[in-house]
Amino acid sequence: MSAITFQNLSFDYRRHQKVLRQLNGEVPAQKLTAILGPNGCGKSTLIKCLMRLHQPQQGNIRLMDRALGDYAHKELARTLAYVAQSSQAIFPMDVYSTVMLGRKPHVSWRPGRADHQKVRTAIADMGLTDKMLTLLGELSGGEQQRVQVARALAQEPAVLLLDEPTANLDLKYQKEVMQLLRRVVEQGITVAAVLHDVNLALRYADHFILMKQGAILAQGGPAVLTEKNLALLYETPLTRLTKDGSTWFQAWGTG
Amino acid sequence: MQKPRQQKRKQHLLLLLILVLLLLLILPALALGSSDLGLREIVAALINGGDAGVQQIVLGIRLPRVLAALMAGAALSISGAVIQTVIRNPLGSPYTLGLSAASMFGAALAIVMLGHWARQAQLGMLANNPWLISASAFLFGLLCALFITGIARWRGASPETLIMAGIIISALFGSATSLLQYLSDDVELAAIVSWMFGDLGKATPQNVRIMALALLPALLWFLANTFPLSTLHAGDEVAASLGVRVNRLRMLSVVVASLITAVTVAFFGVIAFVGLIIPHITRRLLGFGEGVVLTGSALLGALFLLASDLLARTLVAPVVLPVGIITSFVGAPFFLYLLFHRLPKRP
Repeated sequence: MSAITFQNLSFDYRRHQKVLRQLNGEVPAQKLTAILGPNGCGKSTLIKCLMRLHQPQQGNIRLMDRALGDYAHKELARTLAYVAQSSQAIFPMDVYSTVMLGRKPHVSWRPGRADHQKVRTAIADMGLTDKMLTLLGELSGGEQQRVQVARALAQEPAVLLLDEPTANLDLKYQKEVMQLLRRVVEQGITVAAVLHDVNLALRYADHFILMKQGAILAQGGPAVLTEKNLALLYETPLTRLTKDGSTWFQAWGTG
Repeated sequence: MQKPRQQKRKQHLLLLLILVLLLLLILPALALGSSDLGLREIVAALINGGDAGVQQIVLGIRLPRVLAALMAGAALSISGAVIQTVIRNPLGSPYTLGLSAASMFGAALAIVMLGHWARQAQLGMLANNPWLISASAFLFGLLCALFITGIARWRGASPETLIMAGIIISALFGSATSLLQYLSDDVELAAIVSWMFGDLGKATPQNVRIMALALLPALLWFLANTFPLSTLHAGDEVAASLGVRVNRLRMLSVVVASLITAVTVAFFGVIAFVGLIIPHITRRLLGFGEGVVLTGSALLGALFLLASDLLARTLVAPVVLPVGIITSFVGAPFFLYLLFHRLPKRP
């Protein structure tokens, strides 16, 4: 079953250069989908179209088997959560206040006791209880991403979309964030994330969408991650290596 | 570890402290003036008793001045806090958006053009008429707000666009006001300069009532929208993903904030720096929740302007200084301090 499907999806910013060209694809339910591709291929734009942050010029998107356009603003925010590439707060915010923002789609006047409880649970799930009142700027990169995921989970969404959640993180935090996303999927939530690291995607994702120049080159399970597809995708040869049952790709040869 | 409930209690205690200080300052502010009045006479006048002359002084002159300080301080500070949030810029304020420059030009235009026209038409009562000057200031402030929001909508309402538009408008109206000053005669020049200094001495029971009518609904609207406003801190895309109609919220907030500022500027002239510094002081004192920043800014802004006005009335007594001079002298160094200590702290 698909959480999101999109057909003939086209989008451009200035009407003369297509950023997305006639995309057809799906985000399978309760799986972790990795959207891979070189810089500028339209990965983030696709996520923003799926979030209804951009209005495609052509095509249709269905979320949980309903047209995306049929969702009211609040209803959409209760179904679909989004984690941006980086936190953009101008004024410092603490962990608790940031996660509380996630309750916005469920609150009409001011947060009640149940909302506070849900925020505490989301913070605890991310292992941040002892940093509840710490300012975001005082947290490590991995912790900041955990806060953003906690905020998204406080929305109680069915689908979570993330734009480069591992960008600017070192290896330890990249692994931490991907493990976290796996845990989210195990809670029954569909996750789709834009990723740059093929090996990280291969290790943690179930489904892959490979994008190049605004089009989908291939999509499906781990089988689509072939040397040929990846060489076409990144315009550089990648070697598939296998050892002790693990598979990974190396860009610089085997020597 | 400090829990959110304890933090909230601390914020409420600080808000209460500011409120108590504010109430404590009101009686000395009412007592101060050329007529020496005791506290008993003032209280009697306030509860509709006592000498008619004292009543006239207290209710007709001093109370409007105190209420004007409270409301103007609250209005400018709330406007500043909201504008800083919606344009996501710590330097944002009604002044940064060019509103004060536009209102200032409106007043100067009324002084010069209406003055000329009234003298020619032998309608002396229209020359230097405070109502017409205020109305013109208000009209240009409103036009500026509508122009800025129109540009912002056309350009996609980005914070940078709003600030750039504000800078351009300030420069344009500043030059136009300078031209009017250059072309005006000595009397008109003096009137323009006098209006340019923010002065609460212009407060009357009538303009205080009009201000209350503008301020109270605006305050309620902002307080009802604290949660949507706070989502803007996470960025436009995240706010939109949380179900907030970002452009609509931003436009409405700028218009409402501009309107209450324009009313203040129209009645009392330009009172600089209040809208810029008070939200920053509030965030340092109370933290960063939008609700507490708006409530705190309103109370602290009222306290700051009332204290500044007391200072303006006592510093070189019996001469009463325009309060705008005091706020500039206090505000400018404080703002410089803020600029060099950008990382805010919290209790």
